[in-house]
Amino acid sequence: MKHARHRLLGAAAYLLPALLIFVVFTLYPFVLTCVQSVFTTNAKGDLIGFGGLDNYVRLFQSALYRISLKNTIVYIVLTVPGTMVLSLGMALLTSRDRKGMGIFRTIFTLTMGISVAAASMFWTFMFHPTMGLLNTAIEMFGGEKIGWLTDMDIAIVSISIVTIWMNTGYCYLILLGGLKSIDKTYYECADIAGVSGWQRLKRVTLPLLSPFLFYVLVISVVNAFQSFGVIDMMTHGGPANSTNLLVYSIYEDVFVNYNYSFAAAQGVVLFVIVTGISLFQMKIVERRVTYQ
Amino acid sequence: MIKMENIAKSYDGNTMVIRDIGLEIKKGEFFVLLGPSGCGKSTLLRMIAGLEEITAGDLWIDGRHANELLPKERNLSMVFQNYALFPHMTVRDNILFGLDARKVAKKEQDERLNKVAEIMGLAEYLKRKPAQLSGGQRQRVALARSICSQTPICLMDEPLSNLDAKLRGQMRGEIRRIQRMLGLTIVYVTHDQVEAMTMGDRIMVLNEGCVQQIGEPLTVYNDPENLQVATFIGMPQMNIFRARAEQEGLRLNGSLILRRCGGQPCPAPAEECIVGIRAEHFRRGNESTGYVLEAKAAMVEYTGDETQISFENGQGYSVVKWPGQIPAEAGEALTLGVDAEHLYFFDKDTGHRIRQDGGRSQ
Repeated sequence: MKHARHRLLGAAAYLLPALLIFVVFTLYPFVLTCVQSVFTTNAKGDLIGFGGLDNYVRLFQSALYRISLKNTIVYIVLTVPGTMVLSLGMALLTSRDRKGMGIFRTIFTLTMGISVAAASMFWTFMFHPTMGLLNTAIEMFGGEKIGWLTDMDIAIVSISIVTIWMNTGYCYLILLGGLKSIDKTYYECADIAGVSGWQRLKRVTLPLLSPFLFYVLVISVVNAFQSFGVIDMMTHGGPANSTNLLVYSIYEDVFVNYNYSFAAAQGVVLFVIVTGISLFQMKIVERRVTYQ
Repeated sequence: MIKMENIAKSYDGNTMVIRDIGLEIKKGEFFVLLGPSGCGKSTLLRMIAGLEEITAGDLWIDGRHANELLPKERNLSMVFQNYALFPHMTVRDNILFGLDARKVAKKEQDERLNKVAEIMGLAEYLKRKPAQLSGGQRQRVALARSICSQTPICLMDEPLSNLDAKLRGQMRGEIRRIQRMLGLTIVYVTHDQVEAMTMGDRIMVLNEGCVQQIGEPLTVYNDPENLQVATFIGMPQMNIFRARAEQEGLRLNGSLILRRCGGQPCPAPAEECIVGIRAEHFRRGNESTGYVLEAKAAMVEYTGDETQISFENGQGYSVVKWPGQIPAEAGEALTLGVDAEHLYFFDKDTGHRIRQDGGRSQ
């Protein structure tokens, strides 16, 4: 009896720091957000009256919210496959140990060390309508200038390009590590059996890499939902809300419109969406993942 | 079927890990590459498979010069030590792996699968994944894949080393049975002399990248070419003594004396040499026609069907092995007889066998 209590105390001592951090910085704000979302608030953020599901009803009637939801989906559809295909391709190209491969591996992971702010600055220059490198190049080859960040249809694509550029380094590193961890006798077995090229990629490499691909997929989707920095630095959601994503919309409602409870409701909905998608990935997509 | 001439391998261009290997493996032969770990036996096997480049020499497979052939062009299969079963594929897909690439028709694939599954006793496991199988079953799947490819040559790299002792014994017999049944040519790498002795038609003993001896198992056991082979094959290891010829017999390790009986000639071919005696070649008492050794038992061990007695030899312990349960106790005086034909002499510097009857085999 005494022994059991002793063990419990010991366990609690070890768990406490992490538990404390979780409660203070995650659980408490989350509960507060949920509470706030069913009240109305004034410009200072004080709760001034119970609103029930009013905020949620307003949310789904809001045209702007629907736009930002649509933008977010477009953004995910562009960035997640883009990042995964690009980082996988790079990892496959550099997975063999050849002379000089280290140089490429270093270059491919360099973007990991660049802050969102620096990357956004750099890409703002690249996308500059008249002086930007991209438009200068297009003009040089006789093409027509593109309004990278000013054209309503193009801006979300430009933002996606920057996001892919930013995230590829990390995903590349994960996938490269994954490729290196595959036992090379699998490849030798394929060599002897005469399974090569596309067949080998499809039947040997990708299935054995699947735990890593799954991890990259999950974090890419979550990251895309939570994307904020690039938007804030480069477009402020514009032009005409064409790059207004869910988190940026929350930010605007809090810090620009002082509409706290409405933003809280958006936060709760975002939480539900991300949780739902993650559950879907774990229940459905993960069935196709083989852990060794 | 497989022919090698002066095969050599070097990874860095300076140190040779395999040197000057020549051998010919016949069709339908069970050929074992035996040696301690790091001796180059796996490298040699991988060179046959085409997974390692051949630095020098020539390799012929089925009459074709094979040095530059891709692994898939060599028309062989391989069973890996870790089996290389794909965790995401069912047993069925694992067994049929590669048959699409070899353009084998689906109907034919099914026929082969059914036949092999029956031979290997895997019929009820075809839909399982490797993770749901026991070690022995995985081993069978790996073997089944190899058989299903219907290549005339099958290479095996320590295929039984991940199994427990009982299963290993069982699989030894099974592999041998299937090899005979299908007439496969098998090149089998192992460090386990029991596997080599029981399975091989012929054994090649390798050490430090050099061939020590090639021959049938019993020849290699009874007539080792050198000290390496003599001590590597046999359980317990052959007893080795430094011997010096003296008036009354051989002084072993400067302490024990192997005395001549009757009118035996001096046994040593040189004043100093190395003499080897297998544990089972000692006889009890002085009923021997050849030589007698007086020693003191240090430890007696009974395995049930045999008795092992060790005695101090001046530099360590030597072992005597007798069938049955021989009553003996530590500290007891032992009189051990050895027949002349059971003394193996080796050069004290090179370790080469010195044959007393002019080099003829015993």
